Amino acid sequence: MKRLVVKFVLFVTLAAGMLLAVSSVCGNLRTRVLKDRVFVFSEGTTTLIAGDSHPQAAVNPALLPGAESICEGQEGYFFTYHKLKYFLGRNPQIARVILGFSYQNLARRYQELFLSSEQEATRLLESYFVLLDDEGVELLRDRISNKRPYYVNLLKFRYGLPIQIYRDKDLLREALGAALRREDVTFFGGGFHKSEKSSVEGKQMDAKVRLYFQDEKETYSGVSTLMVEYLKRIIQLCEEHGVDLTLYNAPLHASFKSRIPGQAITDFAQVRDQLLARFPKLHYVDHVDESLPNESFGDGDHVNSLGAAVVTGRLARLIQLSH
Amino acid sequence: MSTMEKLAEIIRTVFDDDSVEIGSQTTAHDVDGWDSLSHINLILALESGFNIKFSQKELLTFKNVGDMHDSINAKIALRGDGVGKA
Amino acid sequence: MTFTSPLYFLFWPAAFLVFYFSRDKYRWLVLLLASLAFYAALKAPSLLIALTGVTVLTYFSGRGVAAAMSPGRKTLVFWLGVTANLAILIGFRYFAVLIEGLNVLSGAIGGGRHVFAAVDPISIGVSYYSFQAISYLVDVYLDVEKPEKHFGYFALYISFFPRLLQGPIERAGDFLPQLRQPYVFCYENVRSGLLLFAWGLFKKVVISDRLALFVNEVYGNVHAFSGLPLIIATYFYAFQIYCDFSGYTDMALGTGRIFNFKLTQNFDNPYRATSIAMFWRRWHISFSRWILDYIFKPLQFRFRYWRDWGTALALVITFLACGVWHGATAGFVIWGLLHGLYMSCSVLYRGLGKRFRRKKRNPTALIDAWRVIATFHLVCLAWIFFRARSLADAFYVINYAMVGLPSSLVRLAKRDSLVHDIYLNQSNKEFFLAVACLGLLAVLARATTAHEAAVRAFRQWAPVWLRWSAYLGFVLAVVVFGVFYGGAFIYFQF
Repeated sequence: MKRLVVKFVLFVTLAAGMLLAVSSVCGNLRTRVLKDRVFVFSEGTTTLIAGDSHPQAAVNPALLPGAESICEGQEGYFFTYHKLKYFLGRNPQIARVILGFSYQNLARRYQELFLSSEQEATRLLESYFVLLDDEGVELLRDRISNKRPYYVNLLKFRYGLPIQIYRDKDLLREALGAALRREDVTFFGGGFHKSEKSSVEGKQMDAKVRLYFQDEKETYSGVSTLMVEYLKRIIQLCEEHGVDLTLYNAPLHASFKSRIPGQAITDFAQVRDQLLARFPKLHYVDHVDESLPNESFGDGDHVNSLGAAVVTGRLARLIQLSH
Repeated sequence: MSTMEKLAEIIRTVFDDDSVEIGSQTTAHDVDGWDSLSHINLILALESGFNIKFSQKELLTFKNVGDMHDSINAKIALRGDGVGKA
Repeated sequence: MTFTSPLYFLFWPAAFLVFYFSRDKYRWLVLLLASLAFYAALKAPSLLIALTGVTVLTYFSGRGVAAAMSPGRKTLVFWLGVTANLAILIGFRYFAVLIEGLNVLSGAIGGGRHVFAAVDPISIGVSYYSFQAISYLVDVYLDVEKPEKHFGYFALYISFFPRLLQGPIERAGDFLPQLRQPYVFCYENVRSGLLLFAWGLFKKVVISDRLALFVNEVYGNVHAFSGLPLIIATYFYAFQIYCDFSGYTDMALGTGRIFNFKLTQNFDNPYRATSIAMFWRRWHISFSRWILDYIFKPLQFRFRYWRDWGTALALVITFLACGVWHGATAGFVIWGLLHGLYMSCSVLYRGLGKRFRRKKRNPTALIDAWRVIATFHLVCLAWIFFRARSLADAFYVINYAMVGLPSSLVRLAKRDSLVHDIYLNQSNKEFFLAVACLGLLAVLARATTAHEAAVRAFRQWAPVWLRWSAYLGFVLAVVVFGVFYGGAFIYFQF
């Protein structure tokens, strides 16, 4: 029995030691990769384009001097806030942020889906864990009844445990000494979405409008106070870092806009006016009604790269003018 | 022929195997094709062959051929001379 | 707590230490208290009530049956005991269904309002130990076993924590005598028990939960898929449920072995069976033995004058009961019915075949391979009903797996739909890992004796550092390749 206890304790100690060693290597790798490579832009990068799929499709960083896009589809202000906090902290050279600001960004049902769906919350916790601060993590964690994803992600991202490490292309590339690409990091976002496909279709637009603005009872779900709160935090964050913030309303196809509930447009205008009144240094650019041919739209609420070429050019001129 | 011999012959017929040795310790494992599905055929054959009736309880407690043999003998004795052993 | 929760890894060493250092007289008490604590950790007091109910009722029924003077009284006490157990089982398992039924009734009477709030009670373990209790009562009634007079031993028999939540269903004759043997510390038992437990953990956390990623994606939304992905998901499910349940069984047996208990094995390479009948001798063995002995045999005996048709009927009823035990939904019932029909057909076919076949030809390897494949597919067909969220989904899967197959193959040839059709919307790395896991299983399942001999040789002859490196590597593999969320044991819900 003594032999057993000794062996058992020895084995557990060895296993723990091994895991600690592996974790510190992986954790180190991950931190180095993130701090030195992924989250650090070159000195020449002075403009960040942030938000969800709308600015992702509409603003082409190649056409703006010194711009990089960190947009990600379906990203609400809650996540964009944490993303920006992380990036602005590590990149003092950033002087301007262009943030997507459109009707669906404030739609309560769509933006707060992750608060009611355990699956969504778990997926987002996993994707954004590294970027979230403690309050953010707690908010998500409290929405999930099964706390395991939280603990697993904690062990993985904060303590470096090599859980499912084969999935992290960035780390493997780094370890093998290959050239690292920002797109390889899962939660970072794909950046500018390049595509010339065009498919504007009535049924698709109906479905999208329903998804964005209607709740289960098929009525307009109202404005998300949580998202407005985080939008204000983004504005304050930019002020703190001395960064110029432009809210950008990307183009929508006319027949898509006509499908949006009138109340949603009114609510949006109200929020916009309140923000502009409260934060005098805030800019707002409205390209919603920019007249563009059908071929320039990828679908009802996104332009494709043809449309992006046009509106990014106009945006660039506006920015130049404001200086 | 004795009960055991008749029993053995019935087993050989039901499972179509003339070569298998049947003793009181023989179980279903020892005979090819004797499983819980075909067991009932043996029971029916024994019931008609010896003109007896088994009870549910007995059926569930037979462990080997020897148990069956004892049960058959007891029933024959009961029927044979009208005096039964309690 | 469950076997895969971190708390368990603190629980059993603590339990073992207390167990080891106790006086032999009190060891059963230590285990009993540990088992109760284990069950209580699920935070469902109603479960403890069920356990106590089953234990107390069965203990007294057992003694009552043995003490009864007349056969009539004996039968009465026996049936009282069995009915009480069934009542507890039905009450807990089908409570939600009962409430739903009452709601329907009250709705019809009271004009469309639900009187009772919808309830979703937790019922882990009840199905298993209530069945175990019934088997004990039958054994006592048939004079196969003497009733257990020591209440503590009996309580431990019912609640022993390795087999409390998901079986195996132990026979009194297998377990109770082990309690009476004095405990002698056996190093080999602890070591092999730990290894068995680790292997079960690997099967569950690495293999089963990984396959679940794919299966859940498809079966969670069947209409988004057609053809090849439906087939792949079904095959994956067959192995997911096998690894899940046999992994749990290995963990249970391993833990039992650490305490010097030998529990019954539940699995024996079930997918290598050459017939459905053989499949059921290898799948969830303790449960299929239960339904064989306590439902099938009595029925078959009752119907014996109908010969093969009687057997067939007994089989259908038995497997219907098997389906219902798993759940009161149409899917499980049809799953059971399918197996009942498979078995009946084979019985009727066999009877027919006997008349036409004079000689028994020894099956060639090719015929054997064909039988294994055919059996596996019959079983998979039944699994579709078991897993699908609804009957409609199940029929969709069966229909579109065939109908959609040609077009999905065409898509595959054009390399159009690799991610959707093959990887089932998961990362390709996960898919390759899943396939690698299945490969590992296949390798380990072959010629079990050769595998066992190899393992034994490894343990005996390999130097310590090599062995320990292998064990440490194993731990690392579980950490790296484990899928740590989304993995409740499938058989918990039964």
